Amino acid sequence: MSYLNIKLKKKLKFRLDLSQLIPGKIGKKTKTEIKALKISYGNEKRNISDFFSISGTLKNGIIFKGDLSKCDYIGNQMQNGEIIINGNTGNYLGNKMYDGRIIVNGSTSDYTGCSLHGGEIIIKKNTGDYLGSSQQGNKIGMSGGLLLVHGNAGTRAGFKMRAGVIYIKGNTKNFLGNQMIAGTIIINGKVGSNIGLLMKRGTIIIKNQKFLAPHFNYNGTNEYIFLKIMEFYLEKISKEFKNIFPSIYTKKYLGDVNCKGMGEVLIIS
Amino acid sequence: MIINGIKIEKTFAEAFPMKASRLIITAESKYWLKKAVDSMTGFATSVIACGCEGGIEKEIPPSKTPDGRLGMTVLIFAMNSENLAKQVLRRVGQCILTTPTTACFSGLETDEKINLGNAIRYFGDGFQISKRINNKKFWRIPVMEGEFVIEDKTSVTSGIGGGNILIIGTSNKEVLKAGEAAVKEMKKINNIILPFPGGIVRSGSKVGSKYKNLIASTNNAYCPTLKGITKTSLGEDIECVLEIVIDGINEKDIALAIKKGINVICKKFNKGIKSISAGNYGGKLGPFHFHLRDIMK
Repeated sequence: MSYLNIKLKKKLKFRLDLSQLIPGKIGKKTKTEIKALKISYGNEKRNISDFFSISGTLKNGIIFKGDLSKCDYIGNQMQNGEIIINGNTGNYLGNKMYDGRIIVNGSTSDYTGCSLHGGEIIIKKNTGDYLGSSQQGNKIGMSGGLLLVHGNAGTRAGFKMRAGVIYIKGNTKNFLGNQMIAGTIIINGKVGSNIGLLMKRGTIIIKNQKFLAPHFNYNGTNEYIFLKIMEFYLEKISKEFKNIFPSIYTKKYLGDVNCKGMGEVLIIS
Repeated sequence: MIINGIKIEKTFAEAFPMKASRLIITAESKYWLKKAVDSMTGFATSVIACGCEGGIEKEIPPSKTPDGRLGMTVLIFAMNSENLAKQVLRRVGQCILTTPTTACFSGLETDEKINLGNAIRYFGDGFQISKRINNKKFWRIPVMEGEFVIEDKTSVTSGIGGGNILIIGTSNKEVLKAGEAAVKEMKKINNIILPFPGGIVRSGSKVGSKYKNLIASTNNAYCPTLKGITKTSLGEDIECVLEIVIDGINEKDIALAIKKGINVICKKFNKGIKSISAGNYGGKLGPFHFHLRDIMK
């Protein structure tokens, strides 16, 4: 397994846009060419090598090292390969990504998996607001792929989400699935207020919680076979998903009634 | 060629190209699963009048079905993709959707697709929900029991229809027993079905009839009760002929089924069975020829 190692050399004062550093774009470049790539830093244009040391070969993917919390757009529009980040990252991780895999051994900031089309993003710690959302002003959020967060997520996860799966093992803050169009969000921990506000379609699955939302109608309890199909699919990706739905007998709420929505919130107990 | 006293005729089974699809049906219990698939494949013995030929291919364990419940795979064959799509839609709509606890999935992956849930979803009257999982689209159609889950599309592949053997013997009882044993063995093979009830057909047909409207009629050359008045293919002591028809999605597995079937007959029924033959139309009907003696070499 050989990766291109990109290590941050110094603490950053300004934010960096690392959208150039994806396997598809730098795969055919030599190390010298990669080092000479221009990057904006404040109001200056600088070389990549001014901030990062580069070693190894890009066969399997890229490994980023260091505190990248001021580095945005890592894995932007990525189409293949793998990126591993040993540290925290900034905003827009995996923005408009099509395929491949990003593993973050740390936390990510806001807009992670923004407008994601496909592929997988696995975050070992926490993430910020607007996970899997649309870019501000755009109509559609993530439209495919998988976002797995081992820790907690901020507000408005799945904002305008159109398809794909978000799985958060920890807690989420308010406005989960806000203006959601379709797709599936699974939350293992606690959820803040205003779940599924202005939700049109899609599924939010939460566990062992009371759900008191005036904008949703209770639609009884039943067995939902599709949960097992979902579980089997997720199990193939990672063993962590094994038995995530111990029961498929769930309570179902439909809404948001304020926008004649058919979105569903399933409560697994 | 004679195997254990049974003559293997120097002839071939003539089969023709068809289009096929495989569906996976699952249900809460074996009882309801069997009800669903039996009903779906019940009136699917011959394309001549049923529109398609269909049958149960195999049972699959819960660990290998998309929803973790007991399942069965069903193969449906028709003369072209258009007719196949029509038949699949009708049969799933009337037999699987209606049966309690069932779900329906595609069991094939090819580039050619036909509608499955994509057509049946309209039964949901706008309350249906689509769900995309692992690049596959499923429909959740609300029904009085809860929800019916069905995959959006299923794939079509090339198939072969009309593989067959004729079991020729001296008594009805012995020929039927031999047929049953052969069917039991042949059903163990994947990628094939035996579309007739119990896998056996007694009314083998020839092409055409003295009546203008009929495209097929009784195969009088193999009718033991017409030996005296027709150009018969049967010997003096023959009292019964039964046919096993085999449809499959490749030549190899049809040939294997023929071989296994003949083997079990020759091994266990050499007293009542005189010969094994096959039905053909002189090579004019279809391009697939299963030569019995070549298969049994």
